[in-house]
Amino acid sequence: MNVVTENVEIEDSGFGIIYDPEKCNRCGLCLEVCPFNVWELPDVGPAVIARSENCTNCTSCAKNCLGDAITVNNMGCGCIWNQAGRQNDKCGETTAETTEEECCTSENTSCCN
Amino acid sequence: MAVAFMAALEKAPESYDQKFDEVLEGRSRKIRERILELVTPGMKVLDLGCGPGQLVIEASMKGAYVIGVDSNAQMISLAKRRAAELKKAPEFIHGDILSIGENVNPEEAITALGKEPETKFDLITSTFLLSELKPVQRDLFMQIVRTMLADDGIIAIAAETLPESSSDRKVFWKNRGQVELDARIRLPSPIESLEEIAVKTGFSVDEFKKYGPEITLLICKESEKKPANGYQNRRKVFSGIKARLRIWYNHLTGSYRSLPITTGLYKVGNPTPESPVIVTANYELTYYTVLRALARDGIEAWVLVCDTNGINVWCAARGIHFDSNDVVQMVRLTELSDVVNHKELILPQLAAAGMNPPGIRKRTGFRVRYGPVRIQDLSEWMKLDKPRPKPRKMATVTFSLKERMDQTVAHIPFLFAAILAKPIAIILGILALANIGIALVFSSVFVSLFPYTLGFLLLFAEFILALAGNALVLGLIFPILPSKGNSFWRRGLGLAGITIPIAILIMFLLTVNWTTLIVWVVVQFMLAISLTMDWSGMTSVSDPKVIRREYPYMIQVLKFGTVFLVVFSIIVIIMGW
Repeated sequence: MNVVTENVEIEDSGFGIIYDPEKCNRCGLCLEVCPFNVWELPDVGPAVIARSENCTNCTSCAKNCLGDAITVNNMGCGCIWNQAGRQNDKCGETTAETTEEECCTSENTSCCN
Repeated sequence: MAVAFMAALEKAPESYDQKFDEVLEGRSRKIRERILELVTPGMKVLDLGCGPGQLVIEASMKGAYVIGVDSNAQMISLAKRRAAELKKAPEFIHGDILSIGENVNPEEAITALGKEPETKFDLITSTFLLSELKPVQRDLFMQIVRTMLADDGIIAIAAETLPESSSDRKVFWKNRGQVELDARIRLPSPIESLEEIAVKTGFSVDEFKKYGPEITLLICKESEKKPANGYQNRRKVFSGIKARLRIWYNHLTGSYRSLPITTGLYKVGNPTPESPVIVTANYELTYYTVLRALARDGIEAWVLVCDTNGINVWCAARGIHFDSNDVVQMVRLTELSDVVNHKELILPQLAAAGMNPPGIRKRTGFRVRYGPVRIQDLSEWMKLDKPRPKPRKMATVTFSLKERMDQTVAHIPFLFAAILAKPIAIILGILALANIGIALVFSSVFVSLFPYTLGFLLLFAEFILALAGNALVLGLIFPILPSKGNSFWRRGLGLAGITIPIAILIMFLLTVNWTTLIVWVVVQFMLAISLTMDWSGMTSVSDPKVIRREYPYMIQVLKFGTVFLVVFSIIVIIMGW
């Protein structure tokens, strides 16, 4: 399997687009949903990550890909208070007791309310 | 009050019933006994949110055919073990109650419950579940219950409700606050009137009984005439002076205050069953923006406002506030397929981060299409011969000068109201008290702290000016700030590089002394960094990866800046500079 890993620093944060072009079925939804113009669909062959520097890890492409070819680690919005809450929660350091689900979706870590 | 402990109790199914009864001081047992009085042999009973199955087992022992449903797999397996020895074993199903009756459900058994005519129930019970749901989910729950009830069937619903007397309410809110703090959760708003929920969803109340100040048991049957679906016909005026004032209010306070509107189906113009359905969030400003744009372009449409906790589309979808469930639930609550004769939802493109379109289609029958990023492009998008791929300019987020100025306008009150107001009020309060104290003790205004108070007010005014100035400059030049790797730290340094010389120039013109100059340069640097970092919440380009890495930098700047300011002030005072 040919896994192309874009957007560096995956090792320390678990972020970035993990894309398997072999699974791409050219549905074009990644282009349709990306608000930052990251993806490009050539006339032939699978979609390509054309502008990875624009990516904000919003997970839109991953959630909508019909071929299950894209994975993006979801860490919520980029708002600083949200991220501050997550740091205090030790999110990302998943242990047996605290699953990612629990600590990263707990509502009061969000600034948005 | 105790119901909120359920989250913690649910983690230990074995002791759940006993502990739950303990905190409720035996009241859950009394409620169970009352419900069991309704059970007769041969009756078909459904218990929604059955937990470890006590009620199901006891009803089954009375000779009823019982099904228990719970979303907690551990509870279900425990219930199954407990019921294994019974002669007439009840059935336990693990699944999400709110998805009962959806077109297709991963849990086939539950789907069957809602669809097959022979699985109507004579008695549907649910204890202490309704209060755990969000308000719209409570209505959906009752709607689902109604579809599964046999003709002469009855329902028995027990839930935590807001107490009537103010002293009980005080205790209620206090306990709730403690639970939220301990469990680090935000509880859904409490039920004010269980009767009201039942009546508006088509039930007539047979018995209403309080078990203590905060527990209500309601026994109802289906009302003869089904009331009009309130979700179908929502109205909120979006033009005129009042709407304009509300829009400004939203701009000024929306960034730190939740401003939700009622969810449901709204209209623009006079839509017909053929008209498009536009899906959006229930933030008030979002509502005005969407409906005003549609009205301006002369689009007659249905607008499906989903429950996003009053948060805008992008933030809600990237957080956990706007996903497929919210869309599915609103489609069901509004009974949308009775309103329109097509099967298409137009979702905002920026909601995509929370959506699973094939799932929505499976669960509701509605196909999802993503419209443009900006609602203002919708009319042009609808006229496209070939809507996919969307023209790039419709699919890409912009951050124009006008949009940035809107954010600056929103940012200043946020910083002031959410962060600065309290400490400033405290300092002013202390100074005022000290003034009064001195005036009383010495009966003299000459030794009062009045000059210090004035000095503080002046300093405070200067600070607000500096803050507003930084926010304005930031909004103006945001796109040209250094932003390699989408870094907000670099942008902050860039802003400091521009605003610090401006500050020095102003102070030079005001001929302040050098100690003041140093203090203000440090304050200016702290302001520029923290404002820029905080701007991450004002723009859609912020990336959690970057913000997470750079957040500690900001904390260090604020920490060292504060320490420096304190030490420097002490030195200045001691040395008498």
